[in-house]
Amino acid sequence: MTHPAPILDISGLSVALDLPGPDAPRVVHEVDLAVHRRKITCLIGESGSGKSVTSSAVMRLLPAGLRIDGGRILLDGRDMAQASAAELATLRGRVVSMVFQEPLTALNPVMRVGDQIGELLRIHRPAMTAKAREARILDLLGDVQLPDPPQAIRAFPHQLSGGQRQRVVIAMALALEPALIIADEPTTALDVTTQAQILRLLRELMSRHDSGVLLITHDFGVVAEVADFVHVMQNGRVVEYGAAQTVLDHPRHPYTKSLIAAVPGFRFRSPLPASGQALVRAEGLELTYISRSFTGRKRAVKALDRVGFHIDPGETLGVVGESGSGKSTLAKVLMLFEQPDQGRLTVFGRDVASLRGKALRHYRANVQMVFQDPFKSLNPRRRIGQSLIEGPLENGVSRAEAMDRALHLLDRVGLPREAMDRFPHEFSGGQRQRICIARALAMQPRIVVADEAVSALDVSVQAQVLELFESLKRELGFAMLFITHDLRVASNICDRLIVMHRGKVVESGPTRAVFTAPCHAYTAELIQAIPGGLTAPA
Amino acid sequence: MTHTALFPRPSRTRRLLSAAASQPVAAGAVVVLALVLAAAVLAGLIAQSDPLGISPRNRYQAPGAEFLFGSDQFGRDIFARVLHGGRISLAVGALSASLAAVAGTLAGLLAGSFRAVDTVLMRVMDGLMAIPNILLAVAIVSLVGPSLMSIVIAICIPEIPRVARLIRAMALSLREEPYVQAAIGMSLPRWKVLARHILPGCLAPLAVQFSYMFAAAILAEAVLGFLGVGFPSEIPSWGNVIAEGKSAFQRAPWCILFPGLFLSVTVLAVNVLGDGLRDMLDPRIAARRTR
Repeated sequence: MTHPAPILDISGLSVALDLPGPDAPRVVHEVDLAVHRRKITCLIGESGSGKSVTSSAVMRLLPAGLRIDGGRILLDGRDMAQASAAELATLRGRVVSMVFQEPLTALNPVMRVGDQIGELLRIHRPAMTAKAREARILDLLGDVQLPDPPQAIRAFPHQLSGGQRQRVVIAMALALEPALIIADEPTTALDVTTQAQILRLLRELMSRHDSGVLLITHDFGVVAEVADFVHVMQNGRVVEYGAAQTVLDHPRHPYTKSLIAAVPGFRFRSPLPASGQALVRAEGLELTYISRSFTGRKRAVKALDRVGFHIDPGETLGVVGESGSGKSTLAKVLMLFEQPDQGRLTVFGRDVASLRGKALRHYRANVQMVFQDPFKSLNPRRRIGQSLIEGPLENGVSRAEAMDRALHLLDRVGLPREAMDRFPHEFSGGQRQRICIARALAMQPRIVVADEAVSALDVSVQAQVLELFESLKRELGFAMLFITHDLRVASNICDRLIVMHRGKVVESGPTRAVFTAPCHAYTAELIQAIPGGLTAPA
Repeated sequence: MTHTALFPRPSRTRRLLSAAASQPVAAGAVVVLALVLAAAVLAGLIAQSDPLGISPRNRYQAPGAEFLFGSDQFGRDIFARVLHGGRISLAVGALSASLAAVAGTLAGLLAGSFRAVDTVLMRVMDGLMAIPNILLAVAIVSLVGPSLMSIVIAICIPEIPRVARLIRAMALSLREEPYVQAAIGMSLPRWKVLARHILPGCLAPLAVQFSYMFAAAILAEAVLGFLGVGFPSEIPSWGNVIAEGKSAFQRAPWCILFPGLFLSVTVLAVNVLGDGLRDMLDPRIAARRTR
């Protein structure tokens, strides 16, 4: 097979902090990279590795404070590193376009989908008639397999689901038939089943439109699923590259090895012996959210539909399902942030529906939560120490004792004691999540609710945090409700699983049984959709 | 074992000094405000002449040795009038802005956290907003009679709903933040959640709003004076001095130049200080600055 010239040919690209002088610290260091037509090149690395910076350098959309410090970015034969502003305006969209991570923010919320695509065409193809434009938009929306293109054209972004929005973003990226599509974590914000569909779609469209794709991801599952070539980045350098299969099967660089090793394989735990006294028992929980639009039209969403489950002491119950399946509502109900409309929730042997005042506060002290986003779950204006002792102080623990607990927990989660006097922004995502875990455990709860607690973390950090949960649980003996959309993670930490779909529990049982012999079609679909497939349990 | 003993923090003065060093512009604004305030407080010592003393012989004197800032149509010393006027203007600005900020924040926090209060309180606020500011102020002052307190209240009431709306919106969005949820989950009482986790997050926009209200209040006092319901026009306040000098603007521009200068410099300083405070109160921005 002959190799035509690549569409994108980056050589020796360096990006430095925009400081005067030749020795400004570099965030991207002499990166070489090529993307060919009809091929997907993956750029993989953890947060801070410089992968997104590299891709924004191609678009010349570097964030303020960064500048290109050398190297060439040949895009279809033209050097983007030297292009003038006017040239850039014509190149962007026409030759290269971008698909972003967050489909919600990538679209203008007050503009109809059709108009947003039409705007692109109007600017870049002024000769096109309105009729031709409409036909083209319909074509594009059909191409990305939106269910009803004529309807979708008139829809506002909020009327579409996350997956549908990402399809629209891809349609926009394709509108001008660009030679190169840069996709920055295009499926990270999506559910597994949607992710699989979008990746398949991307692959198919790329071949049909004869373009190349530079796919940025942190997920080796995605690489295994779609990549032709892969470049592994660490600290701004490409440490390894090659054909995807080769790199995955025979990684040479220690960093690649460690990244691949960190991807949680499926590891099933032997279920705990059943105990007679359940810590939490829920029967027939129902919760309906009713929203009323301005015109008075009512919309009811059943977030929980006859949900029943139980958690034994010391057990981790996993809740898996896609977004909108009611997982987080379940957490809120258990935290008593929300009242179920119907059903019985018995915790610590008593019905919690009627808890008020002091009893409610006592209950909450025993049920603590770890949230998904480590950047939002600590008050940015309070020192770590203040956050750690606040809860215990409020619940009758003396100051000295609370300090003791906080320091001990910091040791336990692997952070220096000096952390007490620092602010959250001085820590990385993984460290913050450790702090959040310490904060929850400082209350000495009997139940910990972890809502997507590792989803926002890099894989290597994810593994560490999961291990931390595990060992703390062994030591302190709390029970856990572990909510996740990531089945690999679930298999690593949960004793039993419940699978939720549209507010209903469609399947429940010991983790291994659910994975290896799913009873419900939806569970089977979920397992099918895991990028990289169900690797053999170790 | 106490917290401070474990991790000694620099002393208060040292922290203040380092804050000033990291925010030189805001520190400059503090100095300017201090000077203006001192000038107003010590007006009687600095300006020897009587701010009310009329001398028809000296009408419209240009700024010079005798009249530092010139004189107005009655031959009154504008320098003395501006310094003395600072007392009223600064008092009206600071008092009404603070009053509005406190009352508005309280209303906003309540409305943002208690549903039942929200509906009632915010409708009252809507009602207040529907009444034209000046009309309301004129009504209040003519009912009670002009005094510092009545003017301050008249000016601050229309500002309260604006602050309340701002704080309510902030409180509503902050309430959904995971760290606030975590605080509720740690069974903190409601008021502590408000005071520690929600209120500090509202301070940044509040500081901006405050500096705006401060400036607007000084101007509003002038408008009231102009309409004849504020302080009598011979009593100097920056607004009054400007209003009086307006008619002679072309002939004697100094009549409004100097009070205007004092007014704008003060307002600018308050604005800059507001921005600086906002940055200092947010450890994320403070860290970025010192780096």
